[in-house]
Amino acid sequence: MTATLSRTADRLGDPADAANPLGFAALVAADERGELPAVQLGFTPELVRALGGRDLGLVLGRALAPALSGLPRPAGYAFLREEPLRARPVDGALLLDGQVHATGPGALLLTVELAGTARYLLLPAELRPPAGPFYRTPGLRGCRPHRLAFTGHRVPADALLPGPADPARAARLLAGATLGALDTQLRTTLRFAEQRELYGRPVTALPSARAALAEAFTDLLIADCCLARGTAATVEQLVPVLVREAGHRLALLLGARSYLREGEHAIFQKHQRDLTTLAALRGPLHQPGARLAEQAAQACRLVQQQSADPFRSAPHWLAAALHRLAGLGDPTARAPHPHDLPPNDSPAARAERDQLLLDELRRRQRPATSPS
Amino acid sequence: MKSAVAQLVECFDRGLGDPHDPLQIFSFARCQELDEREEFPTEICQRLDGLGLARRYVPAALGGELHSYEELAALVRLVARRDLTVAVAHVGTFLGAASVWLAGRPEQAAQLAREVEAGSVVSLALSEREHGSDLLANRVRTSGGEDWYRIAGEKWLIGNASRGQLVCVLARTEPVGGPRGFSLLLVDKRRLAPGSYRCLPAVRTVGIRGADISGIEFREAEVPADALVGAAGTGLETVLKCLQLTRTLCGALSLGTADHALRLAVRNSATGANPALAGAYADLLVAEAVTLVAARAVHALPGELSVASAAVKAFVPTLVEELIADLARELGPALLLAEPTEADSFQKLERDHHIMSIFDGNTAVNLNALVNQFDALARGYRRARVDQAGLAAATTLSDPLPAADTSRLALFSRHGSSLVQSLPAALAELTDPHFAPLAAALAEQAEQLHTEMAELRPSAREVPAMAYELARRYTVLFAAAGCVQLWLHNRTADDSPFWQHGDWLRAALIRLLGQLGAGSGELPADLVAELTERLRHQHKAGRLFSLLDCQLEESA
Ligand SMILES: Cc1cc2nc3c(=O)[nH]c(=O)nc-3n(C[C@H](O)[C@H](O)[C@H](O)COP(=O)(O)OP(=O)(O)OC[C@H]3O[C@@H](n4cnc5c(N)ncnc54)[C@H](O)[C@@H]3O)c2cc1C
Repeated sequence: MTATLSRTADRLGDPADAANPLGFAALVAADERGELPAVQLGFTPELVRALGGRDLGLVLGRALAPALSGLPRPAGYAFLREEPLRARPVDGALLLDGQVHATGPGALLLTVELAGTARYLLLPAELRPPAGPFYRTPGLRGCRPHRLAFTGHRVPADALLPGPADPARAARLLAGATLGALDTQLRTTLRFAEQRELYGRPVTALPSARAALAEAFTDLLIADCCLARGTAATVEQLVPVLVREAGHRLALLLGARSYLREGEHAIFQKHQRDLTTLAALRGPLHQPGARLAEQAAQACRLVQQQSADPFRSAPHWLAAALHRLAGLGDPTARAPHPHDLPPNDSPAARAERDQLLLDELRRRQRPATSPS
Repeated sequence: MKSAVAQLVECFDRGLGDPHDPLQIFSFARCQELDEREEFPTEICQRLDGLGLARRYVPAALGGELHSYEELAALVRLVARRDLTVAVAHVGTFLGAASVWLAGRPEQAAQLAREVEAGSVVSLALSEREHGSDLLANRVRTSGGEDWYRIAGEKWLIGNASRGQLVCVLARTEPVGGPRGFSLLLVDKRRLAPGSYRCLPAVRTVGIRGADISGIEFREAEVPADALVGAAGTGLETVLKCLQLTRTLCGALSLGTADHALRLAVRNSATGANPALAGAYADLLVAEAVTLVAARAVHALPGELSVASAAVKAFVPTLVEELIADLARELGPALLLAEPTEADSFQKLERDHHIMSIFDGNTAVNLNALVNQFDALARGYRRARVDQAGLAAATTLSDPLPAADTSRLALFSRHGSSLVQSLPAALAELTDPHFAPLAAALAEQAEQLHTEMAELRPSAREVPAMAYELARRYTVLFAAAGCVQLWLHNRTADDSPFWQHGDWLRAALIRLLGQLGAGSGELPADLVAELTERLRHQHKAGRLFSLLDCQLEESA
């Protein structure tokens, strides 16, 4: 699996290469201009996560629609605005009613409700209604999110794609893309913390910094397990919270660099703004409760039991994940299932776990010369 | 109840005009446009000067109008609730000048006072590209002669470094460095030899985009020896005391942003009781209470400001950041997806506010400052050491404040925190049945936290991660103590049920217990209804969102 992942990532080129249009420098520059990077790629589902690590705008504005629908060409994606978008058949055509938040300038993949089923519809660029106001969003500037209102808007019936829409799959792909972004944020922050010296030592020598990195990594691991083995609810409601909180913790660690739109860490803030904007486009979210935390814990246990990978099959990260989830669910009941938690949650045990997580992070940080 | 500073605040806001009126210089629309162009708010800053804000940065003893930090904090909040970028840009001059107020020679201070009153901009240059919080690692250095210093090296990420006429620089005056190896120099850029310094290009930032965040490089820039602020070798000590004042004021910057966020949330939410709004309002009132008490503590409990300032700087920005995130989550797209027709946008203040937990000592550094004082805090708590007179002065709003005596500021508070150490006794006064469970829970939290603090034996070098969590809980307790004392000392001055029954205090304690993990933090329906109603009422009436009454120049 690692081998496939690194091969898909290879297609995107070296992120540190200033000449790579999908490198961080070019992506940040494109964002500053309010443009999407111009790249020719086949947008497969496998690529979405790696692409999220580069530019969520590209995911929404170009890649998500083909990855979801199997269409050969890039298209933008639209989020529902409270009510579903309704389609009515009228003499060989369809009439659309409702409003969406749209991304990207060209063709647009819409999820419409037709006779009680959710379907995909590809709206060609030339059939778009006039774009409503463009939002003043903090991020996703390249795909220029805007409102699109349909009132009895006529489209040919063949714009409808065969088969039902799959919102759960869309949520999964999108969640994967946000994990790609978080992964980049984590790598960026780790690099900073290893290189920056404070009090005569690298920042990673500070136990609190190590804990912050380990916590963010734990959130990423939990989110990964939710995607691999979790319920749809964990993917849709818990993963965004984990991504947000991990990003927040990493921003604090990155300090002033998390606030700069230039320099070698600038990709961090771009992802941060993009993630905030994406969360707004998706609509209100509620703080996850104990039930979701338990579902995520179950997903983590399954991954740990069934993995052949030496890190994933080891108990340390699972202990970290279970403690984290216990704190997430209900703050008044810090430990839901005592028998699930390792008995020892002393500061020393936590420090040891932090160290092991950090070791793994560092191992992953090294350029993968050979697939492991 | 009106606070003593309400009149000043109301008058100042009247001078600024209705922020919803795009024809006003300091309008929401103007701030939005400036942000989009990343342009410095020059005209707005001039307007603030015209209304005398810069004079408020100059201590009364030097002929200025800084009579109290309570007043200054109230004015800073008032500016920040319109626009944080403007507030950061303008208040920077206080940051730059404060070290001279604390340690400068009388003529030096008097001259700087005249400069500031005349509108000169002063910045404080501590940070360097490769050295952030670790001031002892700073490299900018001087060489010296009989009556001059030459400064060499670069300061980077400095507010107003390019625009400012004066810059207060922390430099290594002893090559070996060390706690006594640094000095502060007040550099007048206008008097430097051409070519001996260079302002660095503006840095593009996520928020406060219009502010001048840049840097300055000195190339053997020669300044007269009397540029020294205080004795050679006292730079670090002076800076750390200066930061106690500015970190306290950071509470007001964040609080103003919370006002702004909540105002947009009220405008964009349906009518009726609303738990998200009520919770955010309760949090705002907590932030107000703790900022108010800390600002008064500059006068009333100066020897304890090392605790109060660190608690405020770690607590208030974090709380407000969460308040903003909560509102964004609960009210969702309506807030973050602003349409260009709106003159005022949530996403801007959200971006702007992230700076609050980064600069002027980031959250970790402030928590660390508390950890370093755990010994004294735990001991003071056990012995219930309380400076009763100071505590009463800090919390009784109708009492006039003594003049600020900054010579009493100390790097460590020997006796801990009167506010927190008086908490057990104060909680015992909350006998009313609707307080009893909250008071009991809080007393238990206080006990347990101080036990854990006393057990922690961190070495200065190896502070365990959990120490920061203890310090975070301490800041929550500090805020709770501020709320309880504020209520106890002022409840008779206001006959509304909000004050008489202590409804706001009940809401505050519920929220704070939630932050301590000793409750859900959710407000009961009666408080949700009451708080939402009061919030909407204050909004409709154009009042400040506050425990107190303060009329703003604002249409709903
Ligand atoms: C917009 C802006 C305006 C600014 N204005 C000014 C200004 O006017 N004047 C000025 O001098 N500076 C200014 N700064 C610099 C600012 O104060 C720096 O952020 C500060 O010096 C800290 O540096 P750093 O953020 O790079 O983090 P660092 O100090 O390098 O810290 C890196 C990481 O280590 C952690 N850390 C540091 N110390 C500890 C500790 N003791 N315990 C645990 N963790 C710790 C931090 O939390 C952070 O996560 C400004 C910065 C910005 C972004």
